[in-house]
Amino acid sequence: MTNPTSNFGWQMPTSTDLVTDLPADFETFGQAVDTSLADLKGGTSGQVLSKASNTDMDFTWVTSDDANAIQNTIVDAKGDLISATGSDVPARLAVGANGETLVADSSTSTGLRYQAVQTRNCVYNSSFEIAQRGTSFTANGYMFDRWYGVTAGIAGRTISRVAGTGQFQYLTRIQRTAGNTATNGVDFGQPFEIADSTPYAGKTVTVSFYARKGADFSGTFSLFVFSGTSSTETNRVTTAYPSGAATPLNTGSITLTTTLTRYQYTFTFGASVTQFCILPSVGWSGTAGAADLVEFTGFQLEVGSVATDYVRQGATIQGELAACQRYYQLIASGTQKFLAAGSVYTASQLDILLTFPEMRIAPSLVATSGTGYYNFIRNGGSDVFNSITLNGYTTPRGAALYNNTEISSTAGNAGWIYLDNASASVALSAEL
Amino acid sequence: MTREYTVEDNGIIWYEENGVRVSFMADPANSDYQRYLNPEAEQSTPLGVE
Repeated sequence: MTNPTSNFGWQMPTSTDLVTDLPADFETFGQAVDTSLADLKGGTSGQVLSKASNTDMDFTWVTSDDANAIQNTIVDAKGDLISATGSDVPARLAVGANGETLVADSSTSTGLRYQAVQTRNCVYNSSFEIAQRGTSFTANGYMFDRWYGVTAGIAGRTISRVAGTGQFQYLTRIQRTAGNTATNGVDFGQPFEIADSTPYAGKTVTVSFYARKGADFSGTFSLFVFSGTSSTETNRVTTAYPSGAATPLNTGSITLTTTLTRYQYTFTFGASVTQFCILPSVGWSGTAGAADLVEFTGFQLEVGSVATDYVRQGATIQGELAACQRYYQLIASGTQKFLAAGSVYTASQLDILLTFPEMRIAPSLVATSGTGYYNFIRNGGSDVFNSITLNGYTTPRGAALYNNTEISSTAGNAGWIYLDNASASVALSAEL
Repeated sequence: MTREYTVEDNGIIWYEENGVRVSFMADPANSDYQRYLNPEAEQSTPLGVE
């Protein structure tokens, strides 16, 4: 023991002090201790000591916040996060699965949700920017690229592409002609091939879209997703019903307003799914008014249980076009439009040579026929002809076409072919 | 409406409808060929709304 004491410097009696001096010595010592510990006095129940300054032994009693502090027991496992379910209410958020990311989600108790990273929007031409076949239709068939409409030949139904709003350049409009009293509906869906469908087997996905109704809309609007397990490519838009129930999604009637609004639905594909389609469907009642229609755009189907911001499947407009051309390519249409090079095989047969970006399968040739629709320029002259047909040996990347009904030329002549009528068109189709 | 198909010597099949000639090979993956084989397979009655 040092004297004075080593930490506080309190002076104590020494061995040589006179006994008579001890009372005074202890008074000095006691007062020094009293002075040093003065700040420890006071306080109220629950208060804790807090430093009042950097000076030694300078304390003050303050109200404790221990009762509101986050306790160790709030976390249970590696990766847990401390979140909140409301003002002053901390809550544990368990870590998600490997590779998942944290996103805001106001529908959960903590306002947060782990979900798989957005893979992509799998819907082709999801805002109808690609329209190689035209922009207005009334009969069954593929309409805007990758979208197949079913009107069943009922009069007074038109599917058209109209000007969009906001972030969307186009909307699809399905309209019943004013005064029409038939209530037959229209389906308008997109089938997905096996290569596009299989990655979604067993996955929870969210499909979302933007829609609105016309002021006179008399009917109902629903969204179906049909799926199948066949190993044969199938257009499920035309084959899924009416034999089976709409699975895995049947929204029932969706309440639309006249304001373009986003709707989203989450469901899980069966584990064995190999193909599916998404199918908006419109039905009507009564007599059609002037605006007995619905409009929609911005379809998105993605892995996860929340719709993320809309994106094109193809990212860019060129990417979207290329994706659609896997299924359909318009080679040429209209008056004085170049088609391809060709050569005369025999005096009466012209062969036309096409190469093209790879398609899903060796495509069908879809070519209009009419008097003088085609012109073959060769050897200082020309042959006008009316139709062309696919020849053999077609592959997903190339095809030979021919005409052997109007050609009168010389074998070996080479030249080029153009379309020469406003209604003339040549396209390749590898659709489902 | 029943389509009238023509089968050429080279195996190409075609039909003409509303001024459009559609020609295709006998390929099971081709949906036009599937319709040629089984014209009744596809339904064409819209769901409307269930």
